[in-house]
Amino acid sequence: MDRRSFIVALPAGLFLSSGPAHATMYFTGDAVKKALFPGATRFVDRTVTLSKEQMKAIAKAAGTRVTSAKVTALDAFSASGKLGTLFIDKVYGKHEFITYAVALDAGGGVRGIEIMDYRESYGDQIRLPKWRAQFAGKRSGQALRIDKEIKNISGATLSCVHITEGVRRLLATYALAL
Amino acid sequence: MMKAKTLKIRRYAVLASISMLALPTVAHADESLWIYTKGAETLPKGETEVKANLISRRGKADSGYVFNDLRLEVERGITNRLTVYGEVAIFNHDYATTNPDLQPFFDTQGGVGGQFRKTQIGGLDAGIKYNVLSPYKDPIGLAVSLEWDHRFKYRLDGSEINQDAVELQLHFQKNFLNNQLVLAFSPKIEWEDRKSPGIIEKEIALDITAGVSYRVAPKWYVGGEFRHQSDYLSPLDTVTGEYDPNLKPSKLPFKFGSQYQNGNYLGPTVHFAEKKFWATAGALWQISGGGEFAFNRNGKNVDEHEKVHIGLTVGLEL
Repeated sequence: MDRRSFIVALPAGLFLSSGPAHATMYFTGDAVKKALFPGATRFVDRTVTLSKEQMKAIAKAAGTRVTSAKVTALDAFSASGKLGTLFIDKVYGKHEFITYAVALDAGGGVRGIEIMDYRESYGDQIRLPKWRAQFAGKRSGQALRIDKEIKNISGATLSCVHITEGVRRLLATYALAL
Repeated sequence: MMKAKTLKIRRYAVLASISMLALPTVAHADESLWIYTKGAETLPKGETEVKANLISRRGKADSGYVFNDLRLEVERGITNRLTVYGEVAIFNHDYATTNPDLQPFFDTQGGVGGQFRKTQIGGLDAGIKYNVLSPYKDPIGLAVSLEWDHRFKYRLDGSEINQDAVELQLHFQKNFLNNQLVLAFSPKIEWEDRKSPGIIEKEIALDITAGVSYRVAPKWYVGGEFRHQSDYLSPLDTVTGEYDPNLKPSKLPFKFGSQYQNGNYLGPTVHFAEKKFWATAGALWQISGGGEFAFNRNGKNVDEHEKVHIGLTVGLEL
């Protein structure tokens, strides 16, 4: 292969090889349900498609962009009643999406967060329980900012910022659209 | 006689100035979205990255010119804000000019009908990069890098030189649209002390780059890049102890002498990343250039600068 062919072939090869990601999957959908709502006996689909007006309202309330109209959500129930709501969402990593789940209690406060898959080279410290625990009890309308209410992890800044923005967006979605 | 001496001084000045063109492809202290421009990020603490950066510079006053500039680099994150790096520069020359005025290429290749082909180790670089502001949570990202370079070969003709350079560079980065759109601006100043037979040069050079890149799909960024490069000097003849009478010398660190040459480049870039591997490719064409003593044609510098730079950088996270 001459030099010119190599220069052309390399990007083409990279493109063709960029199909399925080498994801680090920590939770499947079923596993994250059990992790965040261990006492739940059933889940009811609450997935919604936001209107443009709702997207604008949520973006304004959360102070962040809303790029997808579809919101995947499930209500969790036990024999004694509703336990809360589970969101499965994704935010931008540096190169790929970070998929995560947020559980809200029946009153709309954050019950827990789990990172479901993480595919970036650096930054998976956001999986640390201590970092995720900072979101516990947060509700729509409360301040939720990096370096303020949520401590940043140096070396994982992009992931910390985007997960914080994502939780803020889901809290606003819960308040305005569910 | 005086004219011949002046021409000789100019020839060495041209030769010496061309060698500094090897410097702009200095080590990158992070995953780069462009060929020359570097953003404000640094490696996380304890992480190591190895990198191969090849820039093929092609075309001067006649088309028979290729210079492949390969840098092999290792970077290490000392803290989350401080990265250190070192690299070796490997030069590959392949040119044959028919223009006797295009010096020192013509003489080095052996005159009419000659050709110069050689691969050589051109020098060593070492540097540090410190992140001051994060592009992800501060209003604008900023990093500062300081680098030392040593060259013992001219990138141009393979002759021995003794050159030390210190480079100070700022890296501004601003992200938009959930960090999917990245803008960067990297001004750099270089102080060079170069000794070659009969000539000493104290040179100040500017290398100013800017890039924009957008994540068009997971793993893929597409963008563009601009680069300006110029140098300021007057060669000192060690025999006569005189500077070139037509050029005002630079005085380090900040007193700029005469601008000897300049070149401006523009072109597209593409970046791809997997979890432990990334690659960036780009091509920058010279859009304008000049210099009072340079070989200019159609508003472009075609002796110290090239018609096009084709770059490919591959990084591997260890």
